[in-house]
This record gives sequence, structure tokens and C-alpha cells, in this order.
Amino acid sequence: MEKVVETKELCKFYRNASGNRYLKAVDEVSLEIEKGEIFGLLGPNGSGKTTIIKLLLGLIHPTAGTMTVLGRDPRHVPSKKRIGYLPEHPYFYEFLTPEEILRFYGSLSDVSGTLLDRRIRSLIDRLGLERFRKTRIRNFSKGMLQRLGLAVSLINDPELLLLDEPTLGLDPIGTSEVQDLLRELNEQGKTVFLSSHLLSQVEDCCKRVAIIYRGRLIKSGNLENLLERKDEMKFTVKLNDPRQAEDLGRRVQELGLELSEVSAGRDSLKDFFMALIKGEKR
Amino acid sequence: MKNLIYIAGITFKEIMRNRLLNVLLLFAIISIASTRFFTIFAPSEEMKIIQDTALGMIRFIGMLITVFICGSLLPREAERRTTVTVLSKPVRRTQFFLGKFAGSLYAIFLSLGLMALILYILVFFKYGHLDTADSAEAFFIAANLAKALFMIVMELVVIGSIAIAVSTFTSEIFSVTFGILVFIIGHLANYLQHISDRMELLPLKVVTLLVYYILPHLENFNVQNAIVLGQEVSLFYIFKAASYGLLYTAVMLILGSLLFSEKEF
Repeated sequence: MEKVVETKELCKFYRNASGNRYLKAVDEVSLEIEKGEIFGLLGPNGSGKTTIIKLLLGLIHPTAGTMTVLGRDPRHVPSKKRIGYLPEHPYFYEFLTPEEILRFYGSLSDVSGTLLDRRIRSLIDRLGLERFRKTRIRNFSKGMLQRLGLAVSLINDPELLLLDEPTLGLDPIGTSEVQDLLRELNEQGKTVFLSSHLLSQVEDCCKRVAIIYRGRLIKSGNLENLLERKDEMKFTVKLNDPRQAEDLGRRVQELGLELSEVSAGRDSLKDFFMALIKGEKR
Repeated sequence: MKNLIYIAGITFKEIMRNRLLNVLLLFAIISIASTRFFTIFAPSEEMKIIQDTALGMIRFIGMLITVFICGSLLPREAERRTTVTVLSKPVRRTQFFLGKFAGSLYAIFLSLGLMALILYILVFFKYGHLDTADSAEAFFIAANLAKALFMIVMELVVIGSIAIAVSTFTSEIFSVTFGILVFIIGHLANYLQHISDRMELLPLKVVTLLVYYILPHLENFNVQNAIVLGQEVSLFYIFKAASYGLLYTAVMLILGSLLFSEKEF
């Protein structure tokens, strides 16, 4: 498989205020992201996720180690035409409207004419910004800015998307829409590098993950393999009569197996909430 | 080049919405327009007073506008994190830096143009109704004023390039203060050599001489006295001063651009 992002023993250290000690923001992190996958970088706040993304964009310089993005050094400017980036807190020129902002960033990425017009229209519609397309973003909520940030990251139709906490500030509906969009982009063959501290989000979207803590990579691999418990199996059984559950439990024990958990079927709060909102919308 | 123009365009739009710039401009327009009232103290020197006061005002307020714009743009962008989103697109850091400077210059030129317009209106009101003999004098004054204004533009370009270069590695307050200090000391630079000649302590002498050579000699751009006294300022002198200004600006922009290229966001 083609490697879209590759880092080898990547380090980024900062000196503290007195200058005599180093803060190890990223410490010997080696990652490989393959073309066409959604890769999740998981870690608590302050673990070095944003630093890794900034290193991959050439916004900061590594203290040690090597890295390539789309086969080139991250500071290779023309490669950025093929990259989309959503920062953790997207900020834009407040005196502009979403349409003007998309036009500006599209122009910077060498997209122009009718292609740019088409992309602006489609992104504004896709990300639910149509009502605000001519409104200055000064009073936009965090969620609206996040949607706009996502649109800006997609304006150049990138091959690789670097997303830093893409659903920060979004409500459950917005979060679900963004997750759907990520899957859709992935189906189109785009590679997504998703950094998040939201475990459920990464679990929903990513096939491979890396877990980072205090700048160090502590685990990485296929999510299925990482979470699989080989000595346990989960069955979902549809009962004709609730009393059948008791029989079922007894039979399992007769087989000499330990029944570790029995619970009634239930929706997750997210599914319940989404169903309610969709019903109201109708 | 295209990206540089886009960035310059957005920078210009941003600056024109700056309240401080608008307040300074309004103050400048009122001040320049009111120079006519000072002429009541010496009616025979009316033209000299208008030229002297208005040119001084344009230079001083132009300097304030320049240092506030050029010294604050980059630190503010870094603080608001808009730099990060722009640099994540295929934009070279040099393009971003020069685009910011070009947009600033555009706004500064426009502000100066507005102030110059007020000054020319004052001159027009003084000579507009007189006969042809006076129109020759008016033409001479207008041409001389254009030379003085051009020299002010060159001076502000130099100060702006210093302020923006310094702002790549310092805070907004420091670069604005530094820009104002450069304006003050830069006009006194010619005295520094005399001061160093009289110094006995070698380290102090060396430092003073170093400052003398590093700082821009802003008096080179000051032709105000000659113009107020009605003396001709040769085009060759203007060419020499402009070349000096452009060279100084180029060095500052190269330095600023190199520093900005290594900056971390």
C-alpha cells in the first residue's frame, strides 16, 4: 500500500521558560498512514496530537526524526494543494462572509473560475451554511465556525485531510453529519488523518488508530484487532418470550461456559436522540 | 505572485476596517484643513505656514499610521491563528510576508493620498482665483509639494519595512514602539557621528557608530525646509534618496522574510 504519511522517530521538544529543561511534546513517534484509510490519532488533551499535525504541515520544525507527507517534505509548498487542514480552533477573517472566505482560500489553492463557484456552492450546501452564506462570520457560533473550517479544508478537493478535533463544538446532529461526510470522503478515496480525544468518534470512523500519551506513541494498529477479546463472544438474540432468557442462560451454563453479562436490548442515547430529532424534523 | 496579490487584497480590506486608522485619518484631515487658521498670525507667510504645518502633520500622522499597521499585522494574525489556516494552503511564507507588506503599503498610500488631497485643496483655494502670473508660482509650489510628498512616502516605506521585519519576532507593542523610536532617532542619525567623535570611551563610541550605520538616515527624505523656503529640490537628489530608501527597504524585507520563514506557529 502507498504510504501517504510516514514519520520515523519524530521528536518535537520545547524549552521551558527558564530554558534549562525540555518539554517533550512529541517523543520518537513513528507512524504510517496508508492511502485511502481513515486513521485516528487518539489521546487526552495535551498529549501532542496537534503538535504532530503542525509538524506534518511544516508549521513547526522537528527537533529530530524524519517525516514525509504525500512523499515529500512537509515544507514542500506545492504539495499543500493536495492537503486539507482543519485546525482545532478554526479562525478566519471576521469581516468576511463564508462565501468570501471560501473564495479566498480556494484562490490561494489555485482553484478558480466556475470550478471554484461550483465547489463553494456545493460545500456551503453540504455543510449547512446556506442560510449564512452572506453573513459576516463575526458572530458565528463555535459550531458554525467548525463547519466553515471543514468547508475551507475541502475547498481544494484534497487527497489527504488532516483534521484536528473536527467535531469540537458541534451538537450530536452536526457530529453525525461530519462523521457521515468523513465516510463519504473516504469512499471517494481520500485519506483522512483524524485527531481526537473523543473515543466514540474514533471508534465510529477509523479502521486503524494510534494512541498517544505525553508525546509518546503507546499503541497503534487495526482497531478490530486492538479491541477484540478472543475468549469472549457476543450474541444478540431476539426473544419470542422474555422468559426464554432464563432458559438460554441455563443452557449456556450446561455447556460449561461462564455467562459474563446478560442485559436487555437498548438503544444508545445517541441513536435515541437522533431518531427523536429526525422524527421532529419530519 | 497571484497568492501575494490575494493576501495583499485581504490585508488591505482588513486594514481599512481598522478603527484606529480611521480615527488617525480623521484627525489628520481636520488638522491639515485647519492649518489655514494658523495663517492669521502671519498673513504674509500664509503659503509657507500651510506647507510647513501640513507637511509636518502628514509626515507625523503618516508615520503613526505606518507603524501601527506594519507593526501589528503579523502579531495579530499569529494571535488570532489566521496565519495557520493561510499557511496550510500552498502559500510560501515569503508570499505571505510580502503580501502583508504590500497590502499595508496600499492602505498607507491611500491614507497619504487623502491627506495630500486636502493639502492641494488648500493650495488651490489660495491660488485658484488669481491671475496667470500667480499660476506659475502655484505650479512651482504644487510640483515642489509633490516632491516633498514623494519623499515622505519613501520615508514611510522604510519605516514600515523596519516595523514589519521586527514584528516577525516580537510583540505588537514592541514593534510599534520600535517603529516610533526609529522615526525619532532616524531623524537624528546625522548627529550620531558627531556625538561618537566626541566620545572618549571606546565601547560607547563603537556602539554609537554602529547605530549610526545601521539606522536609516531619515533626514535624507526631509526636503520640507527647502520647499517651504521656495528652493528647488533637484530630481537627482530625489533619485539618490529614493534609491537609498528602496535599498534599505529591500534589506529589511529580505531579513524579515528570512525570520518569518523560520518562525513556528
